[in-house]
Amino acid sequence: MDYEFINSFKKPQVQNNWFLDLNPLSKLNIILILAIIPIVVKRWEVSVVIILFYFLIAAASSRLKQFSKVYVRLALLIGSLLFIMRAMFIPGEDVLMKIGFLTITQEGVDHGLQFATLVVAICGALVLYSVATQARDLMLVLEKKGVPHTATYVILSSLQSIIDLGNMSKLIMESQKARGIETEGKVTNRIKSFFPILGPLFLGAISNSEEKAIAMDARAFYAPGKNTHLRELRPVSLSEKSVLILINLVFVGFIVWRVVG
Amino acid sequence: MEAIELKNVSFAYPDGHVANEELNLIIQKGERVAIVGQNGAGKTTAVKLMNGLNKPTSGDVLINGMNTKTQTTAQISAYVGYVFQNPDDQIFNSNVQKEIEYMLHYLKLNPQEIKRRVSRAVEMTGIEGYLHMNPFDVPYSTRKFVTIAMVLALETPYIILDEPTAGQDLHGIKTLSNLLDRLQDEGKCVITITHDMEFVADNFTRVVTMANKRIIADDSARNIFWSKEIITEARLKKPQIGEISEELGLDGNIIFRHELVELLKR
Amino acid sequence: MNCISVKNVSYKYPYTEGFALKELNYEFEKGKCYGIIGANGSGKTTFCNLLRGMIPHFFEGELTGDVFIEETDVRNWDSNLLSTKIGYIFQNPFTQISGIKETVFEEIALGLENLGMEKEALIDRVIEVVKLLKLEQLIKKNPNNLSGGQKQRVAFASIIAMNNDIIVIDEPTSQLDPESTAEIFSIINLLRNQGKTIFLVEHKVDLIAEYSDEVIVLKDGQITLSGSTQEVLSNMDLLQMGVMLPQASMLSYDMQKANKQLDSIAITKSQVIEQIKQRVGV
Ligand SMILES: Nc1ncnc2c1ncn2[C@@H]1O[C@H](COP(=O)(O)OP(=O)(O)OP(=O)(O)O)[C@@H](O)[C@H]1O
Ligand SMILES: Nc1ncnc2c1ncn2[C@@H]1O[C@H](COP(=O)(O)OP(=O)(O)O)[C@@H](O)[C@H]1O
Ligand SMILES: [Mg+2]
Ligand SMILES: [Mg+2]
Repeated sequence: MDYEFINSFKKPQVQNNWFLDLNPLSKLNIILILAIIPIVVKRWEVSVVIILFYFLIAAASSRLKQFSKVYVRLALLIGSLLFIMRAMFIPGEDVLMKIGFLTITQEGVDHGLQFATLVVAICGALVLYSVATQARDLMLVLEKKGVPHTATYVILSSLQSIIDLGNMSKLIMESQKARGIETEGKVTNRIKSFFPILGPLFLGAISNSEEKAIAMDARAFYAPGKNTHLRELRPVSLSEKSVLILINLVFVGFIVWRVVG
Repeated sequence: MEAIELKNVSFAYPDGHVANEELNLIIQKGERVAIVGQNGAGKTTAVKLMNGLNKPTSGDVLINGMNTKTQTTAQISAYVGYVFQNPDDQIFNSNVQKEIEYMLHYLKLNPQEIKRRVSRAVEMTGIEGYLHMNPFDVPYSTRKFVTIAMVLALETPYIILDEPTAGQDLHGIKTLSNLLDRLQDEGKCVITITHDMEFVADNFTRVVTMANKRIIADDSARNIFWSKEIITEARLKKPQIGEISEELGLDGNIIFRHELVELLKR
Repeated sequence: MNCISVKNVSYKYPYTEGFALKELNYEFEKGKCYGIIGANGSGKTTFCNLLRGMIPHFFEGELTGDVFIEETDVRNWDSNLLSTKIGYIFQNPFTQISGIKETVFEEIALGLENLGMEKEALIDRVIEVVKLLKLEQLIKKNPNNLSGGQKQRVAFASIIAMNNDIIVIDEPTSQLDPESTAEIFSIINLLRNQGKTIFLVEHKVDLIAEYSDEVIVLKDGQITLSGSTQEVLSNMDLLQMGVMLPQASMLSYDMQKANKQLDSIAITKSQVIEQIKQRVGV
């Protein structure tokens, strides 16, 4: 038997990476600050810097691949959509070009750029947090802070059900393939095969959640008394605390300076 | 060649776990074969290779000469029907009848043909009483028959049943047994994974045995059950009659009750 | 002392026509293993739901008559306490995995975490159960990526870990290979020897014959036969109830027909071997 693995539960869970091993709430704190800065500053250059900074952090915590995979697509989609909408419809003086009834103005482009980069920057914070933090770690901390475990379970299992939906749609696809319905190859095939499964997917998810509730009850999930945890997280170190306080102070100072100045 | 052929096939799951190693097997059209072996031996993985849900990591799987690597699973499934181990993974319609007809409409068959296929499948599996129920409300062991009916309606030349005997009662086992006989008469090839040794002895002459990712034996039920090495390695047991005969020290590699009684009468 | 008593109980699931259980009466004693057999749809799982208090606490519908669990009316039990009192291993092995744990080891620990067991003791207990069920090779695997039989064994382990006094087990070996089946039964026997009360639904009558003290046969929601294992499993009427007799009993009857009658109808392998030796002298 793998006792090294078993004994790993006797110590706090660490991944030997300074950012990943920060307390989930510290991480949340830092990332929130990163998301708020562009909201306060309202300049596209700052948003871009922040976005680049996300990639840096992702790389430093060896999550670059996972981060980029989700984020690049999301950013391009949301960014270009918002930019085009704004650029086309915001009126202004400085006309750049006219396409049919559309008038594109410098103001529209500026506004579009600013708004698009801002939203993309905020999304980035969410994506970064989700790749750098395990949901179960966050729940563990919340429980330690006194949030009841039935509540954290609801959150965790909702997150889980997104994954489950993914797994279930994979299963249904397999089931379709095994009957002879093309789900591979051409995009049209995939789309055509996907729509009919949406209904059963959600029905399945509902009946699943009922079965899960019974399964959890069998594991004494609703038992009175306090539960314990097999996994534990590193206690927040003094240095982590002080750095965090410093960052927060600088941030508050910055906000005050922006607002007053 | 009209057969399912596995040539030096190995398979690893995305998490790196190697589940099948160096499988070599030929199952001819019209044959009836059982696959037995310990939990986790790689049986389900192996049959998923035969219908293209799994594609070999190395080696080749040929269905009537076609290499599964060059075909989509959907194309292969016109030849190989597969009943999943867990029926819940295979069901996605809101009622049993729709579940069975789903594919037949997709294939744009004419209404008489659909009717013929459905009634054949329903009759063979004995699920007449459940056609208008939601498949998830059908009792668990009967749900398996719903998925069997669905696959039967595809009328493929090869049919794979993954643990159809699990949780079945006397009646369910009889239904399965009759089903196997009928499919054989129709010239279909049926491959059945099962842990029910009595069922194997009663219904199969060719038994493929798997253990630790590999095929370790391919022989008659009698020879498999009377080989100590195979039994131990694949965590099987003889049908109880065989065990009794062994403990009585009787010769003749007995696996059936009538054989034992015959011998004791003398 | 009676562990559970069922008095005149009938039960109907919501939105259904007929009763799934009809006028059941039975006194279950502490420390015994009860085999529950019957054709599919005869009400075995429903009976399990009743014994575990899921009826009426989880399943609504119509319940008449009384169930007493350790002398307290099931209606007066706190349903959250019942889960710490009675362990329940479900029929469908695929829906028992919690889905929120990433390794088999953590999956087995889940119940103990919920019971509030301290970490050191908890780890020791999980190790103990892993060894008991021979799951050593699987502890690091994601529970969702197991084979059917492996899932069933993990589900069994996860409940056994909680060490309840009463354990309801619904078809625990449906996906298991013969050797693992035998192992599960010997664990059940071990639990019985530790004084636990066990309710066991199983189609494999040969094994019920070996390990249970009493057997209850259900047909269409009614108890049609019950009593000592020997009595019930040697009764040819079982076939009418859609249940197979143990191979040993069938063999005994066949010997009778062949004019080589054994002393009695044996139900287990060892009994029948003993009797054949005496009768035929092989
Ligand atoms: N999706 C998966 N990802 C990773 N490993 C898997 C996956 N599915 C199965 N395995 C592993 O591969 C091995 C073979 O699994 P398989 O399902 O083929 O076994 P099996 O012979 O069908 O067993 P059973 O009789 O229990 O159904 C097992 O050790 C299992 O843990
Ligand atoms: N959740 C449910 N809702 C409605 N009817 C049910 C439910 N579960 C079982 N039944 C019905 O109750 C009867 C007994 O089923 P069950 O207890 O599952 O039998 P067994 O376990 O012996 O196969 C069957 O007729 C079945 O259809
Ligand atoms: Mg399998
Ligand atoms: Mg049942």
